[in-house]
Parts: sequence; C-alpha cells; structure tokens
Amino acid sequence: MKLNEYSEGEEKEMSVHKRPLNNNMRMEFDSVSENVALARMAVSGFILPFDPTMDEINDIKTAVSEAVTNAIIHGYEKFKGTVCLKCELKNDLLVVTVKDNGKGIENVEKAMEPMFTTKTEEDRAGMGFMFMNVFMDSLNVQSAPGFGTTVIMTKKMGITKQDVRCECGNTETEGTHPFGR
Amino acid sequence: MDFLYEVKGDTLTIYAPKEIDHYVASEIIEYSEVLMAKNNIKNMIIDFEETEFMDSSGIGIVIGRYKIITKLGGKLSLRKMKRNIERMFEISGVKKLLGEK
Ligand SMILES: Nc1ncnc2c1ncn2[C@@H]1O[C@H](COP(=O)(O)OP(=O)(O)O)[C@@H](O)[C@H]1O
Ligand SMILES: [Mg+2]
Repeated sequence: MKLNEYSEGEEKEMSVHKRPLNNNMRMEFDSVSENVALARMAVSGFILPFDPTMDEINDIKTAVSEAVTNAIIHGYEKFKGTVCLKCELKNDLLVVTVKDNGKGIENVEKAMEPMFTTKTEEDRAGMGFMFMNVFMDSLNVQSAPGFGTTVIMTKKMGITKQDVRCECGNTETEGTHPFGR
Repeated sequence: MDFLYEVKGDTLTIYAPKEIDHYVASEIIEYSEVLMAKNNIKNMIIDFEETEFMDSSGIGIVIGRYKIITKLGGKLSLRKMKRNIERMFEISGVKKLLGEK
C-alpha cells in the first residue's frame, strides 16, 4: 500500500497505528556463555518497533542477560542443555520468560537475596536477581531441585511517551517517562 | 583477548570492552591476574570509555579486583563510565565501596 495515496491526516493516523501492539517471539539455544549476547540482541530487536527509550533498552537487556547467564552457568553448569527465551508484548506490557531444565534452586528466597551466590570462588557478585528486580516491574521465579528454573519478568513499556506523540506528534518527550527509573 | 591494557610503573590500566558479561569477565579476570603477577602491579584503573553494556558480571570483576588490590595496599579506580554503567555501580553499592561520591 503506498502511503502517498492517503491525505496527510490519514498518514499520521497510520504512523500511529503501524506500531504492532501484540507480538510473540520464542527462541532456544545451547547453554554456552557466548549465547548470552545473542539473547540480548534478540530481545533488543524484539522491543525496537515499540520505540523504547535508551533506559528501557538497557534495563531489559540487563535483566535478560542476568536470567540467561544464570540458566547457563548455574542451571546447566558444565553440562550442555537448552535455554528457552520467550518474549511477549501484550499492548504495552512486555513479558520475558527464561527457562532451563537444569539443576534447579533449592531455596529460591535465599537465592534471591542480594549478594547471595553459590559460586563464591568465581567472582560472582550475587546480584543477578537484584538487578532483574530493580530493572523490571515484576519478577517471578519458579524452581525446584531437579526440575529446572523458570524466570518470568514483566515491564510496562512507555505509554505516556506514545500517548503524547499520538496527540501532538511531539517526539521529544524523553524524560517524561513514568516507568523510567 | 577482547580488551586492551597498559602497564605504567606499578599501575595496570584495563580498557574494558564494549559489552561486559560473564563470557568476557572470565577472560578479563584471568589476564589481569597474569599481568599483575608479571609486572608487580599494585594499583589498577579500569577505563569504561568503550563500554556500552554491563551486567552483574562486571560488578563481580570490580569487587574481586578491589579485594586483591586493597590487600596489596594499592588503589583501584574506575574511569569514564557512561550513565547506565555508573548506575549499575551505584545500585550495587560498588561506588560506596570504592569511596567515590
Ligand atoms: N537458573 C538457575 N539454576 C540454578 N541455580 C540458579 C539459577 N539462577 C540462580 N541460581 C542460584 O541463585 C544464586 C544467585 O543468583 P544471582 O543473584 O544471579 O547471583 P550470581 O549469579 O552472581 O551467583 C546463584 O548463585 C545460584 O545458586
Ligand atoms: Mg547471576
């Protein structure tokens, strides 16, 4: 469909609504630490059509990096397994799920405490869950020894920025972001 | 090796790579240990000018180097962080640990 077939008003309308409001992505990859960068790239690409702020991109990339790293280095350790990354956008809500079938977590509450790590000899800071918590709006961890781990994180994407843009076409609204922390 | 370094007297400067995650962290830790032993290093500077992304693996590197350098009676300084990197050091308490405002 050619844009210039429309009058100016209709064009504006289209550019507002062309942003897809629902989308899903699912990928699976080997549990090697090279693939953490791949997961970050995938999630950045997934949210890009939603015109995220730099802060949103960084927050989401960091949270995904933490969850995927954990699946690889704690879930599977030296063993080779498959990590599943799922991204869903429902309107302005991003839901990211990272799942492994690794060894699981004995005490989830304890594992989520800042500075707790079971790999003390490896210069791990024990701050992975803390960053997931800080950078996302919600964090849910389901795990049991021998049954793997599923991490579900959600984040509302910038609705105010979008609304402002819809009303007056103003693109310089960074900073007036209700969820940017 | 994915990062550059410079030795001047007893100070090692590490120029951190574009993205710091677990994959490059182990490399930085290993090489810096070798470089420190070979050059009698006491102080360390980590330069983040090129760094655009860092996760908690970077916090692990810094806390680990801080412990080693402090034991030697030296000083660890962080330099040229972008806003998002600096924020990670603030949230994690590393800035306070290193005595930076
Ligand atoms: N997917 C996982 N499978 C098994 N154990 C995990 C997983 N994710 C986290 N853990 C456990 O939770 C602890 C804390 O995780 P985190 O906060 O990311 O710190 P770190 O990765 O630095 O140890 C880990 O040391 C590990 O024992
Ligand atoms: Mg972790």
